[in-house]
Amino acid sequence: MNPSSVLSASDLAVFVNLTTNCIATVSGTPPVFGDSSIEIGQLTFFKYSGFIQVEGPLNGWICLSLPAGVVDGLLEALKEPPGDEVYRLDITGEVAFTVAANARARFGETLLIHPALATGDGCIEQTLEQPAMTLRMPFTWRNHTAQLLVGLRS
Amino acid sequence: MDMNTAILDRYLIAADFEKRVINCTFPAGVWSVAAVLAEISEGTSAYELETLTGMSAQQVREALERLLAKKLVQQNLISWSEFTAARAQALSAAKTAEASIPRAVVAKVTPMAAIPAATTAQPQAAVAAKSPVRSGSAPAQQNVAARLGSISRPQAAASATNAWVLQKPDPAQVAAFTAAIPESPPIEEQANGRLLRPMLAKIENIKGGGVEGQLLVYQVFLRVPYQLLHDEGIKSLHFVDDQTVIQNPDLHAAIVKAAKDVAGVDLA
Repeated sequence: MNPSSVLSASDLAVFVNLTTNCIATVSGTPPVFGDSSIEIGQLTFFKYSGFIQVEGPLNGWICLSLPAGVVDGLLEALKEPPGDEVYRLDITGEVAFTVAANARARFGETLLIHPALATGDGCIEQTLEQPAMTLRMPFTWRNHTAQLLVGLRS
Repeated sequence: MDMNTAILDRYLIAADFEKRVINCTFPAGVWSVAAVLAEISEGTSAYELETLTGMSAQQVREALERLLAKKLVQQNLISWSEFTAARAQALSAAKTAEASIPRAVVAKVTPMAAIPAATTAQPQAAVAAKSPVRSGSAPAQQNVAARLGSISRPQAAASATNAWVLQKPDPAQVAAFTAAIPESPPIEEQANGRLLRPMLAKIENIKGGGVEGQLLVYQVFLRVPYQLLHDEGIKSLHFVDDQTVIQNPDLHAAIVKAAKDVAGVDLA
């Protein structure tokens, strides 16, 4: 099966829009995207990352990578205590989980969307592989820089 | 930049940043670098700052110089033992990466490919992760990026409630996300090759630009052999900007074919 031709860019954009909507809904502030890039090779992650692994017509993962400032801001918006590592990982995973759940509702059985995974060490989740090329979409949220990454196997 | 420089080349926000920053004025780009450093407590390298801020190497260097001059940022100083330990880890990561990268790629990856691995030399604060976290390094390849256009800004959130469900797209938001980028200029043939940017623009315009356009470009490039991109020498730039010219006819042909196959667009 040819991954790229089965699910279109429009389908892939669903993940971006879901992530944008989720952050905006939780916090009342939508992320503002900057210049995107295709990264070849080693990626740089912010400390907290939520990964959504997909299999089927698309194979790879979508990652929301956030610095502590964004995570704490989201926690404050939810009236949760900022600065606590457990809560930080929890909200990171929760955003990714929510995006995954909504994507699952959107794609049904067309695409296998695994449960979201969260990391708090600035690295890729250990069960995932970094593809040769990754689409990096940096964004700012309340003066913080963060990024959405799309890593698909070619 | 060699591996040794990469290991040393880390910058940290000053401990008394909040006190020193009072009355300081800089261009926004300088503050962008400071903002990223403030977000990463363990510091980061100039190399990574280019990726995280989207600024050029020269812009990052100039910003760092201004921040260092005001002592808002400090260079990370390490001992000889820390340096040798980090270097050993970087070398080990490079060997691991070589084992996991296809042979054709390994043959072209220089020792500089180990630079990102050096960023893990300093241990992160231990955290209770929901899922196991990797302490090692992912396959180290040369960082290269093809810079695309900006994504249109989304509209403000319509709801402040914490609960949300998948909804039909807001037409205004869809319009904002898919705002057309300027009509792509003709693909110019330079004396030494083809400009990359007009090719990207032509692919993006298939989807009217925005997120979908950039995702389409990404899907096209997934079909372009990594080795050809690497061989083009893009690696030393980190980003492909408006000036980038595709010189290798094989790479140009690969991009043209991928664009045709994936996006149905003729770049020839």
